[in-house]
Amino acid sequence: MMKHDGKPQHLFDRFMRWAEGEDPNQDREVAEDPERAEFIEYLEYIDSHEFLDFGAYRLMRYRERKAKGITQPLPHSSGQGQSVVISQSRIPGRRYRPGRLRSLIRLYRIASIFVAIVMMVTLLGVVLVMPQFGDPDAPAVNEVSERYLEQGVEETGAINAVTGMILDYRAFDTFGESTVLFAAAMSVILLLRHPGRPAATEGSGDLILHRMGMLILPAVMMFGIYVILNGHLSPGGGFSGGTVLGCGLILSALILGRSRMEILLPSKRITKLTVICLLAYGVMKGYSFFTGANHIGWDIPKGTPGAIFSGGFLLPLNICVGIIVGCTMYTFYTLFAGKEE
Amino acid sequence: MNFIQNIPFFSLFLILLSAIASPFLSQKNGALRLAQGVQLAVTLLSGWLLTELWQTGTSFTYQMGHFPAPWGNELKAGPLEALFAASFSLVMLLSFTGGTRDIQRDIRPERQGMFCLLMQLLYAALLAMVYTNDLFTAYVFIEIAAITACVAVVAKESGKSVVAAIRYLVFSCLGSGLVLLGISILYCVTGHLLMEDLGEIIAQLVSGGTYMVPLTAAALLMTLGLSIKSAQFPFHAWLPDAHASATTSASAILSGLVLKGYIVLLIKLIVRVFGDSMLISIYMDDLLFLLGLTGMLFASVAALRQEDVKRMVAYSSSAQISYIFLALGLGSRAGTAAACFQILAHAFTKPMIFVGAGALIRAGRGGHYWSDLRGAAWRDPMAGLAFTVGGLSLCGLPLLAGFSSKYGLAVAALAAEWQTMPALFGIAASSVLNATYYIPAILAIWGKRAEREQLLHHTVQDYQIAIVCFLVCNVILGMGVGPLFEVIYQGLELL
Amino acid sequence: MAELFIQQRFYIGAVLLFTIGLATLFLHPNLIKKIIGLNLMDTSVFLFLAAMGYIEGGRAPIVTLGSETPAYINPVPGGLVLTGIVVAVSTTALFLALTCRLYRKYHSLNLDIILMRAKEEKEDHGQ
Repeated sequence: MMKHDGKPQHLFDRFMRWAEGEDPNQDREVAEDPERAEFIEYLEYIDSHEFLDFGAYRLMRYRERKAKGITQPLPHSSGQGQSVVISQSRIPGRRYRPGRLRSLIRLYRIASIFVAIVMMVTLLGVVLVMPQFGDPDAPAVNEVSERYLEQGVEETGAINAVTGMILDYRAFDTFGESTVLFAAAMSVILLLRHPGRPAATEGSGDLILHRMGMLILPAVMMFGIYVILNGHLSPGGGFSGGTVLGCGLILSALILGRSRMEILLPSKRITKLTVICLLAYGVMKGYSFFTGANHIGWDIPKGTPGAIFSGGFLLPLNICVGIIVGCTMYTFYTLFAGKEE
Repeated sequence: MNFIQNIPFFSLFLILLSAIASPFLSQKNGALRLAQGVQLAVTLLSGWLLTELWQTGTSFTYQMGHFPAPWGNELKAGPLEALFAASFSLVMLLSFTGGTRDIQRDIRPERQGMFCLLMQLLYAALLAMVYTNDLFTAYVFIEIAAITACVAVVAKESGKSVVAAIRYLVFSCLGSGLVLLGISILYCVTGHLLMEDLGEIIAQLVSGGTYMVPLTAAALLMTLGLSIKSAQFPFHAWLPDAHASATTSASAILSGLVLKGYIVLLIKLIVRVFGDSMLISIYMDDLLFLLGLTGMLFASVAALRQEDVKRMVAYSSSAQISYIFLALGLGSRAGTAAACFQILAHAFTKPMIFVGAGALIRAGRGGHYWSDLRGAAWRDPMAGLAFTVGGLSLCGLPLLAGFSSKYGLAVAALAAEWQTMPALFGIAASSVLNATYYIPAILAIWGKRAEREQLLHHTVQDYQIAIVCFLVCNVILGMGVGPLFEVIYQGLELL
Repeated sequence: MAELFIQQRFYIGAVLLFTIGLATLFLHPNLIKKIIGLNLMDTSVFLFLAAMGYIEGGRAPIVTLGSETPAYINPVPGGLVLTGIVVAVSTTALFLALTCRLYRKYHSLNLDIILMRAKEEKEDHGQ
């Protein structure tokens, strides 16, 4: 009864009414949102019993008591006119203040607006006394960022200071970050993948999409690969390039259709690829953490800064990150675009 | 460099890499067994680290990579961190072992491996929060914990658990958003993310009186965010549903460890970054104290009204978290030590109750309500014992963990200024309230024995081993107050 | 005062965005709008961080090899924003996945209605 697939029908009805010269919005209050009406009835039910704790299992408890024959039959079973029945079956002696729950909800709204305003005023107070925007002498410009900029090229081999920072100086953060993405991908798979259900959507067959997609797909893919490979030399890197790559994969899935895409790149293989890349990332970083912390040496040669093969592990790390991000984006797409049960 | 100093790094990478590699295991319970093996190994390693550090009385920093601290990431381990790591690993192992049968029953077989993977990531995130010396690393791992804990709630896949998970995720994201904002403000006024450097610069700023507004706001935002995530009283709305609808191991881990992980981070923030004097000057300690005091009374009253065993235990968790906040609010070293002890005591008690309750629910007819559980303890005496001992421990029966933690808290409260009387009153009232809901519950599960009630098992089950370990740990925590407080004080000195 | 407001305009914008996100999160029962609110909050923090890294006349931190060293902006906030974006994407994905599940089960995106229906349904005790 709650399914929304009657929507076109509903629109059609409105159109017919309009065509017959009636006001299409006349019974809008009723037809528009039956859920809302049901909810309001439910609120009145709770209200009349003064069950103000939203989190509790009041209704279930009531049903259990009913099953044991302690109280009157549950008003729900009588179908229509819930709130009327409830107010009759109310336990005598209880204080009944109508609309208390609704006033509580109003209180909640006012309280949230109040909290938001307090938050805004506090934060405004904070930002007005903070170091000024663009101030070259701000406290954040200190020996830490200076070393990233001045010695970064020498120490990491990366021209792009941000890449050098996230993949070498503060690499543990970035490993955590890739793990967040991996965890999210695994969670979404756990929530949305159904093992028995084949992914059998066809390509849209849209001529414009097909032709234009074919035209720009190679460019998108090439650009993604370029951004990943040049992560240590120019703006970009694994995360941004991986997103472009993921977009390319999604575009090709739109053109080819999921079933053909599933033959080219099975979802199992995508997961495996992600896992392998993350493992490779972990092993490389683990190696460099271990040797660095124990001062063993065994450094990876840095190469000449500016060349494509430079920066030690940076290039393979960027490739790993790029594949992880691209695969994760594509996984999200396939799972969210999957048909409903 | 001593080999032992590699243990924090090894434990983190062992857990992370083994978790990431676990999709390759094809055996039926492969991921589960691997997880347990890794947990056991990390427990042993951390125990070794703890004994070494305790005997030598040292702490050390471990530089992650080739660059020293303000530039690179860093881990820091002292006796307190090692103690937390060892006990968290042990609790994790025991919760996993204790809930194995519920995992197999509640979660679809093809998803059990994934569940274990995510739980291992959660475990790694907890350890990283314990060990890290860098605020931003802490934020990243807070987010890992948020995502994976949410999956722990949802893994059972009933409609209710999805609803609980989404509420949990809303609160969790709000909390981590506030933490991130606090970190950004701190970074803006200090230019550091490393806890020690932050501490130094904040001390300078406070003595110079500059940037007090941003510092106060950052401290408030981060405390607020972490208390939302650890279900401290006014923000506990998500907790009962999340716990009641999760599978047994997940409830045990959520209640016993995840909430504590954030509080360990909060303690590190208080001790390392802000420092007692700054927090006292902005009345943060009073705020924490009042939060804790109201929380322990209100959550206990709410627990009284629950019909569902897991919900009752969940509300009781919120009350116990409030004890920690109360102890932190005393603003003294003794208070912080009492908070640490309460973290340990609760970490060993609450999972035991959840494992016991899970087994009792299995032994009953699968119902969560008191009416279903009447007499269930006779069918599974070991589970009944776990629930009984856990409940009594939280009520404060001497020789059990809960009593010792209340004792430590009371001793710390005696040395406080105005907080003494309210704190003692709060402890007394909350203990009485604990007793009013745990003792009827215990009486109910040991209630009248029907004719045909029989023992469920005649062989030893793995969850029974877990329960025995929990019981032993509880008694050790109850009896070994002296040495444990010694370790905690030593650890706080070196934190 | 007005000068200060103009000077700190990016921070103030971030604060306003944060407040809008917070209010949306609190006040909208619709789950998708809650997600939008959360994303707004995250984005405001990124704006805050990115503005913090800027230095008057600074260039992007891609170091030019050579003798003269121009002023660069601070690379640290850039890295933090990158991490933050990835984290935000991950939580948003999880959020949307949960919303999908809820919609399939309860056929509504309104959290109040979902809560009501969830409460009404008989608990299956995981069997």
